[in-house]
Amino acid sequence: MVLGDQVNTDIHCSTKYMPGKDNAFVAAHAFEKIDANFPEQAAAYRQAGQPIVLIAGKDFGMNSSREQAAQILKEMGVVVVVAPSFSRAFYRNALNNGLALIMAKPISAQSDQPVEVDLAAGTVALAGQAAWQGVGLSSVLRRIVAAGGLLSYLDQNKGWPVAAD
Amino acid sequence: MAQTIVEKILSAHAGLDQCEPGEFIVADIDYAMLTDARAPGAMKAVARMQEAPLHFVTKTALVLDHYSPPPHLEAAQIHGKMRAFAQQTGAQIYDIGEGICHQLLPEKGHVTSGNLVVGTDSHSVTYGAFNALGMGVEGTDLAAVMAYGKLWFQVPSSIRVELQGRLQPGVWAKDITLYMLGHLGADGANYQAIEYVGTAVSAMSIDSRMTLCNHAAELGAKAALLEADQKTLDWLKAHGAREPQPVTADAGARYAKTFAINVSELSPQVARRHLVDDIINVGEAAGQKIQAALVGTCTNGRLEDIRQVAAVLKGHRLAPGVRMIVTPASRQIYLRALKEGLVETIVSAGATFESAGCGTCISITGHFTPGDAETVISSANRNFKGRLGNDSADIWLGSAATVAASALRGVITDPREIDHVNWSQL
Repeated sequence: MVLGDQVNTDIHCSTKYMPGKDNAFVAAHAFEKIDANFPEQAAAYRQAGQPIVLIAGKDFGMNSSREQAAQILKEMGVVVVVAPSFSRAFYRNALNNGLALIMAKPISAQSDQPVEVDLAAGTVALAGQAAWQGVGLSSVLRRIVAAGGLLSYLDQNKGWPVAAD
Repeated sequence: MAQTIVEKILSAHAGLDQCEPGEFIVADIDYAMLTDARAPGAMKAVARMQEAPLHFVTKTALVLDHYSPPPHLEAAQIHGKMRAFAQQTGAQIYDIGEGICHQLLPEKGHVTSGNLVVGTDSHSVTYGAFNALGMGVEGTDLAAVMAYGKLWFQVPSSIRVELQGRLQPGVWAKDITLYMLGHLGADGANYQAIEYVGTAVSAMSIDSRMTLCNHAAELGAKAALLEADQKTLDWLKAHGAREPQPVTADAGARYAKTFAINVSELSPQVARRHLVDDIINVGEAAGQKIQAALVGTCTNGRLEDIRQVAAVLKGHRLAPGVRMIVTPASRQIYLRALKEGLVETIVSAGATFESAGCGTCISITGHFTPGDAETVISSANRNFKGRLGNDSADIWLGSAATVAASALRGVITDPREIDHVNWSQL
């Protein structure tokens, strides 16, 4: 699925719905300010069991830092966000909450185009096209994401087993 | 390999001889800070972690500054939970009115040269004024730090900025950052660390240095650092900081960008409404009416700023139709301002004082919210639409001197036009 430049956390998960609304409720409204069909389309993919790769423009996740922004994307079925740049807060929040990221030059794609990503290599390939080379995730970050987030990773590994890498 | 300040601090804390931009590392933290804005998430995360050892919690400060004093029941409940958490775990707590986290950490001796400090707020970059690497992190990060005293980072590349010359009287560190925002933009230093050097930095007071490093957050910077000099070391000693271990950049260290600014020519700068990087010389804003003037925040709520306000307002009254609120960044600053007679001068001129806290920046307490179609000039760091709780008001940014001069005249004013102030004495 595709979104434009500078999608901020207000568009993503408006304070209008907070506090007091759960993530499922906010996920049903996320990004509707810029694309009214977005939540519905995401729900259809999720019901079909298809993981969503979100291709966005620069500065994704800017504005106030909200860890909920990452949690809501996961709730919507997004597994990877590809963008030319992320806000620093969103970058940490996404990985700490088990959402993978790839930094890559702007990619023009259609919302329903199948896409293949390689987190280690940092590549993004739209069906039938050559892969785009971006920046993926180092091995520990991939393990943090695979564990479902930083705290689960630390639970499973009892601290920071970095020497083992 | 020659290293920048950030590379040196990170490699030393990760047990490495060296590290380079982009590298993933896990580093030992020296001190951590959690504000009331992020505490609910972090405390919930701690509770969720299985058998979290909480080794580091005694080197963690919980600061009740955003909701200070608490404007509603929900905030009061958060504060109650934070007090209980501190009681149970031995975390340091700074209660309402004690001050803004970024002022308190150095003031209370928790930051020293060579340290790696994290806090749940983007303006944690402030600690760079003391040659410490301060970085903003999130609630989950802070939970992990309280548990294990370590955190993951990706080493940032560095930008070296030489500030040549000397600021004219009436022009301040805030004006330098606003000028840089105008030229580099709000993402000008995204993911990067800035090292500031040069004669203008050496000449700056510690208060000004804190403004310079603090405001780098608006450039997108992950960190902003100065070298330590005698002024730094004296200040740290006076505030009971741990033994400083100053870090300098190696000759031949690699920078993503280096440039110089001659600050001698710089005029006071202002950010126009809504955008932190829409910057003009204050003279170009002449005639712009204002209804509210705010001085405070972690960017410009220090004694130096309050002295500027008092110098402008001494023996005068605010312009008709203008209201002004001054908020010291900490209780210690408030007490000094009282002792120096600054509070009396400012209040006599028709302005109001608030207890130390973050309200000025986001009006989270509701005390700073403007009405529709009003224009606010503020010494804060951000002026996004709706930042003070009203989408239909405009916020401009300037130094405390510019805010005070504007409050006196009722229109945005170059502080150097205020004849009764001798800026070189401040």
